[in-house]
Amino acid sequence: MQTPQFQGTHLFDRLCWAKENLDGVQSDYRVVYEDNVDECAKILVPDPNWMACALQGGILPPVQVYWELAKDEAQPDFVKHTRGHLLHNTKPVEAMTEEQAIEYLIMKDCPQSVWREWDSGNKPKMVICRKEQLPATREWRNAWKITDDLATDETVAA
Amino acid sequence: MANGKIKADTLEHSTAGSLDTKFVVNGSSKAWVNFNGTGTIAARDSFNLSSLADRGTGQYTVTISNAMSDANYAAFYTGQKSSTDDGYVMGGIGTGGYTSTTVQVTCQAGSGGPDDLPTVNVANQGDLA
Repeated sequence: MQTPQFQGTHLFDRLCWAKENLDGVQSDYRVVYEDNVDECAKILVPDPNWMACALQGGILPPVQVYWELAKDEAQPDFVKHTRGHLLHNTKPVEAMTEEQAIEYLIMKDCPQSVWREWDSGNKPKMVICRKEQLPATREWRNAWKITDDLATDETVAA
Repeated sequence: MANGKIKADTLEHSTAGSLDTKFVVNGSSKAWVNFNGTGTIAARDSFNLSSLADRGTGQYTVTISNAMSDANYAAFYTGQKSSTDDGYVMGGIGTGGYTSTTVQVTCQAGSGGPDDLPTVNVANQGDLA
């Protein structure tokens, strides 16, 4: 399925096209991160329809656009977005692999304080893993932290 | 007409009256999701979402792709614990509860603390950026 030329098309309209023409892709990847030492680990779950857009290409704006909008919203005198056109007029990103899509999503939806310095502390603040590596039950969900010893075949949060 | 555009200020039905198209544009949901908040969190279906974040028992963050124009949109929440119980879903709780791209959601069943719900629905209405 060829993506139409979407530069200049409102992102909402692109998403409508994607909803009609693409099937959602449930990713097995999860991003476990800790942005507050006093809270349990959080887990980022990609949206299947968003993942389909990322894999298709030509739909999503560059992740830097979201950073710019976040900067605007952080201003004390922010009232309403005036640079929303960046979402619609910036050249969309090309098709990504699933791994590239996860990296994009981290930079879009995880706090910058986590991914910019994910490995600078006593232990990693962020881990990309498969959902099977998460605990099987949520009985002690509010106690989950990233484990100190990480291996690719072991549970990453406990 | 395929892939065309109809510019109209009013839609009129043969018998049920007419509607200003502003109501259609302003009244439609700009983002929605139905997700399972138990086990491995996952969206069953959605529109204009980029991710869900599992923040702990009964606590989630919904993040959208096309931002709203500000944080003053209306977000609607429902949840269901089981076929016989209803759950309570609250949004915008705590610091950073609402931004133009995220809403923090807290769910609970009964009078206890936050609780995972097997069905959580969130929908946003307002202006897009």
